[in-house]
Amino acid sequence: MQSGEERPEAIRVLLADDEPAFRTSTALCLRRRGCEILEAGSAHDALRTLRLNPDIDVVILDHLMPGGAPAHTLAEIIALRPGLPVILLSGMGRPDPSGGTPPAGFFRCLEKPCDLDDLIDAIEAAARSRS
Amino acid sequence: MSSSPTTDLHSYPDPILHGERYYQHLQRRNILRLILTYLLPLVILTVYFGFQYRQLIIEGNKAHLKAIAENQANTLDLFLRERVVNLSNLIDDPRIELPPSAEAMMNLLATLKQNSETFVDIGFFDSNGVQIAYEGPYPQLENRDYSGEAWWVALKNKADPFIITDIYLGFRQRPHFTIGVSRVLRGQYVVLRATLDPEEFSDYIAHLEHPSEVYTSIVNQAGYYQVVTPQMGAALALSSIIPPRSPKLDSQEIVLGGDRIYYGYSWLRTCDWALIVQATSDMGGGPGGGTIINIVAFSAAVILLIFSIIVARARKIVREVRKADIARAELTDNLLHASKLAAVGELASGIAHEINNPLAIINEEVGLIKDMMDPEFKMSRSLEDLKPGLNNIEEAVFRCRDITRKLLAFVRRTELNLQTYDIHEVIDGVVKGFYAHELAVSNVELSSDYWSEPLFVAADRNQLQQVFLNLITNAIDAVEDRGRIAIATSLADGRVYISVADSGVGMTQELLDKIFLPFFTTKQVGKGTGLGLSISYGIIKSLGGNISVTSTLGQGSTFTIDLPAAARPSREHAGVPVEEAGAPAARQEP
Repeated sequence: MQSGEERPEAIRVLLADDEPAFRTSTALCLRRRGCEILEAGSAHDALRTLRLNPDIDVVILDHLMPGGAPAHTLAEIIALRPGLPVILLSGMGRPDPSGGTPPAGFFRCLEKPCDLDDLIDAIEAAARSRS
Repeated sequence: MSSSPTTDLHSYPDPILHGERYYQHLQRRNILRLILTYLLPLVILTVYFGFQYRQLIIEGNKAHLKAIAENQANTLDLFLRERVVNLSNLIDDPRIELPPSAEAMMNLLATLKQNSETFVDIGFFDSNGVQIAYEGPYPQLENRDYSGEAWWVALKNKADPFIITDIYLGFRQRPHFTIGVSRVLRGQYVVLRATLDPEEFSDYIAHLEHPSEVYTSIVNQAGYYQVVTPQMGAALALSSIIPPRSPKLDSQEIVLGGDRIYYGYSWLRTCDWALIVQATSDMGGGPGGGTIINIVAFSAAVILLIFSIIVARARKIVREVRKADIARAELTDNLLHASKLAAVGELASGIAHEINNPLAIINEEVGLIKDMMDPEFKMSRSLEDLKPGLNNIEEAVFRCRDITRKLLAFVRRTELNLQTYDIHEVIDGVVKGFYAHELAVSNVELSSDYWSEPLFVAADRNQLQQVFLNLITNAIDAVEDRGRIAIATSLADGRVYISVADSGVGMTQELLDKIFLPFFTTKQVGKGTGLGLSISYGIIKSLGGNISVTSTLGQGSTFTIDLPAAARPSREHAGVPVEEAGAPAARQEP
């Protein structure tokens, strides 16, 4: 969180993760820090929420989730909302940096478990990138 | 390992070391084989040459005996002929009186004795066979009529003008033999006869050549001893050896009282006697007996030496084999362990995900608790509010522990533990324990078409897990993002069949040929070790099973395993997993 900077309005974040415990506690943390959180427990959920809420600023996407291979889900999100920044949370280490160019809209990859401050930084940076 | 790596790698049909009996058997077989290779030919050669040598010695001895017999017979013939000539000279002397006076007879006997000491007496016979003149130690024989005596009749009917009789007792009742020569002098048939002392004659014979090597005896045509050494028999007794009439000169062998006896003989030319020479013990008892014994003893020593070398060698070979077996078992063990580690390595990213997720939960919960302590958020500080978060943390910690425990259980070096397992339970354990999450989040559909009854096999659980882990990992890799994996089991002819089919990319024949080779992999560098299938192959073979693969490019591959079916285990063993590898996995699911 950058001090002295005013947030005109809360950042709307879609948090997509299949672990309810992780989702709930992360959402709680982020809400306390002023984010507006929408939760999704599966790739399918995430896409539906995204369709229903066109004002979402950032998507936090678990790398591996039921209902779709990671690349698939990411591609669908980008297709649905081109340019929407996506923060990937990976439990399997960082994706191979040489593994092809990241798709447009892909913003950052964080390793699970990640520092909460890093996550906030990433969310804010992503939100700024949109404005 | 260069030409057929698979065969070599898989030639550890049982990683369990052979028992003591196996090595004893191996040692016996080795000794037998070496004996057949080295000792048997030697023994055969020894026996063959021993026999040949013995024959040679026998032939040599027989030839020697024959030569002695011939020589002695010649000497004897010469001697007898000389005696005949001695007599002939007397009767052919033109000065001889007819009939000779007593004084003349004395002179004649003196002349004879000068010629040979063997002469005993001399007699002069008229044509009627009456001894009309006699000189010698038996004067009572004078004027005795000999016309009925066999020798007189024989001489009279004989073409030759002389006769040598067999030894006989005669009127004087002493053994003697007679030489008679007949003449027709001044129109009158007369006979001059001399008798010879067999003892003197015998001494003469005893001093013929080779007295120490042979016993010499003389038999007549009927086989009675004429002259004999006391070692062999008594004069006029029946000889145990009666030489054949033909050939005149030879050597023979006969068995007398269990002893094999070699003798040479020669029929005399001057009379119907055969001279027999028989080897004394100085000739070695049997022919070449001593030498034969030496050869046998020497051969026995050599054979014993070779035998002990063979035994030592066989022991050494077995020791080496045992050492190699132990080394191989250790190597196999290491390889199996390495392959397990490799399999875990291939699962590493999935495992990392499994562990990182609970860690992330812990992380978030810690964040929440920190927030509670942060005055900025002005939150309740009630300890009660910590409870849900702590519960979540606890649950996450146990999830991590279960995963690590499961991993360790799989990787742990375990002794082979052959027990009877339901194959369905093992497969389910692997699928649930290792792939539940991966399958849940992918588009891979795994179906199980199991035989209606539980199918039991005798195996090591850990090894079976490894095989299915390898097959399912490969199948998942083959189908890539989406596809189907079908596991089916069946029972036929006492064998349990398990097939793992995928709807993946399939393989070319070229790949199929190499698929069970160790270190052969189609995966990216660093992702696969190429050990999985070769290890699986080895495991299945060691359990008395087979593993095969069919594949169609673009349509998928099917791996089929068959294992000998085992009987349903008794209740206390039934279905109890050896390790908890599969069991905690169920708890892992939230």
